[in-house]
Amino acid sequence: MVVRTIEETLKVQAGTFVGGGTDLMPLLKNHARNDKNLVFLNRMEELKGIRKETDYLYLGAGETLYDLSVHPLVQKLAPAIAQAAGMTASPQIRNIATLGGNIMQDRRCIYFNQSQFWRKGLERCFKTGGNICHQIPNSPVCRAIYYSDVATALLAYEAEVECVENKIRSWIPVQKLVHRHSQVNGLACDCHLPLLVVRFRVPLPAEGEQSVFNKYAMRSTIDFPLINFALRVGGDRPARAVAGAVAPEPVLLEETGKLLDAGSDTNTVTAACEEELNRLALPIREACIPPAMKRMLYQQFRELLDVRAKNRM
Amino acid sequence: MKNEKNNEITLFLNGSEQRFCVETDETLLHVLRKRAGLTGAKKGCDLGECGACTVILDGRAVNSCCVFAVQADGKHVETIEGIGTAEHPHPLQQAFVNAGAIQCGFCTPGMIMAAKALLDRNPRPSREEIRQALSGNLCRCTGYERIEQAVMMAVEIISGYAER
Ligand SMILES: Cc1cc2nc3c(=O)[nH]c(=O)nc-3n(C[C@H](O)[C@H](O)[C@H](O)COP(=O)(O)OP(=O)(O)OC[C@H]3O[C@@H](n4cnc5c(N)ncnc54)[C@H](O)[C@@H]3O)c2cc1C
Ligand code: FES
Ligand code: FES
Repeated sequence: MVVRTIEETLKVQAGTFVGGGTDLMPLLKNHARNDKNLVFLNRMEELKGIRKETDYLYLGAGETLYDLSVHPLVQKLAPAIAQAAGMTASPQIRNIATLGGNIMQDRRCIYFNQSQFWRKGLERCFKTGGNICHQIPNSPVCRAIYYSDVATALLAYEAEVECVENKIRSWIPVQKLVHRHSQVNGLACDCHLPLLVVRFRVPLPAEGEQSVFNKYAMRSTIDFPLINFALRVGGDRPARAVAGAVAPEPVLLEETGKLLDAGSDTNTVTAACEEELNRLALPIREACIPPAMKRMLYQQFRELLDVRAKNRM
Repeated sequence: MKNEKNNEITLFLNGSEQRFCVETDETLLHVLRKRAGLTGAKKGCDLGECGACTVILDGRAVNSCCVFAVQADGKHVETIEGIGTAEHPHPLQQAFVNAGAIQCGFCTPGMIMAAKALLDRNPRPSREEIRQALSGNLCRCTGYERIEQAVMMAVEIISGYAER
């Protein structure tokens, strides 16, 4: 069904929201998901809009990644979000994929994102209704990775999200939403948080704040990120560094952030980032690279540190 | 995917208003190929990876294999069939032939539609902008150099028209 208002979505029982459908469609075609009651959100005006208000930049969950990537307000006030949106998938996908769908995308794994025929040869994993993780067979939980590029950027800004859950509308940190989504999404492929994401808000930058996003992928328009990073420094808040595509949810690099605030040099900060990721990341086997090679990418965080120079100019 | 529920949608397909009865989980590509008989948009990977199914939806290039037909209701859809004929090809079509940018041709409609979406909004793109715009389209035989050349040739032809 096509819904036009939040009131209409509240009447839907056990529906699956469709933003752009670019994450959902391949999963449905591969019978990895079997959602029956599709609820199309693309006519909901309330999910649209990019606006600057007193303290925040507001981003509608129904905005496309392309629109976010080229919007002057996003480019100026939250450049890491514009960059992340502009580096996600291909131009064709960015033209239709939404911000809400990007954050609520399924976690991925080479044993799950396969055709039904391919998966037939394997015991069912957690995500397909079984009791095993093929990546780490003694793991009590699914270890599929959360690859969202935009989530990494939103976390760097400590952005919040407005959701409607159990008919209640409230603001929560994006980090909390992603954490809950990631937990539920690893239980089984038909388990999803029963909530509607309406919009996001990003605190406006204080003077001197700099932020940047970067990602590494084999073929960036087809392949999901091997790793992505977002960094926010300067201004009136403690620095925040985040790495994505390395675990079931983005990894906050707290020690790295502290060193950034202390003005440590590039080598020291990069070494701290590597050390933190070696401790906190949970890499798995991926289509393109083994975990060992992924670990070598941790030092790519160095590339983001040039953003600090802008403050000194 | 099986979903029996029927929905009526209207598409402004290559300029003409057409109605279709579609299933909720049916793709725009399926409607184009099976219901409208427009087989120019190709079914390659069917998963959003190759761009062979690219059409222009309300002015933007999209992978029609990843668009639910229901989402396209009321929108303008341009396919390769709508942009030129054998007698009067679009400058991009002619340039692809002249540049030898076609071998098996499977990727060609998608490449041309992705390039057209770019030229419609930016008639004088840089080489880098062309590469970016075509980055979601895979070609397994020709290689990308000739394809890029073809788009550059079309840019020259189109800007020649504009200057006349
Ligand atoms: C070839 C290819 C490459 C890709 N590369 C990348 C990549 O590099 N980086 C990346 O991050 N992603 C990538 N993706 C995944 C996906 O296309 C994007 O994440 C996209 O932003 C998803 O948005 P959507 O609106 O299409 O999501 P949808 O498919 O519509 O939805 C995804 C999930 O979110 C839920 N949902 C959607 N909107 C809402 C809402 N408002 N409230 C609550 N739930 C909602 C849906 O129910 C569904 O479970 C890629 C996909 C493909 C096919
Ligand atoms: S067939 Fe649609 S992207 Fe490959
Ligand atoms: S010409 Fe054969 S795939 Fe491009």
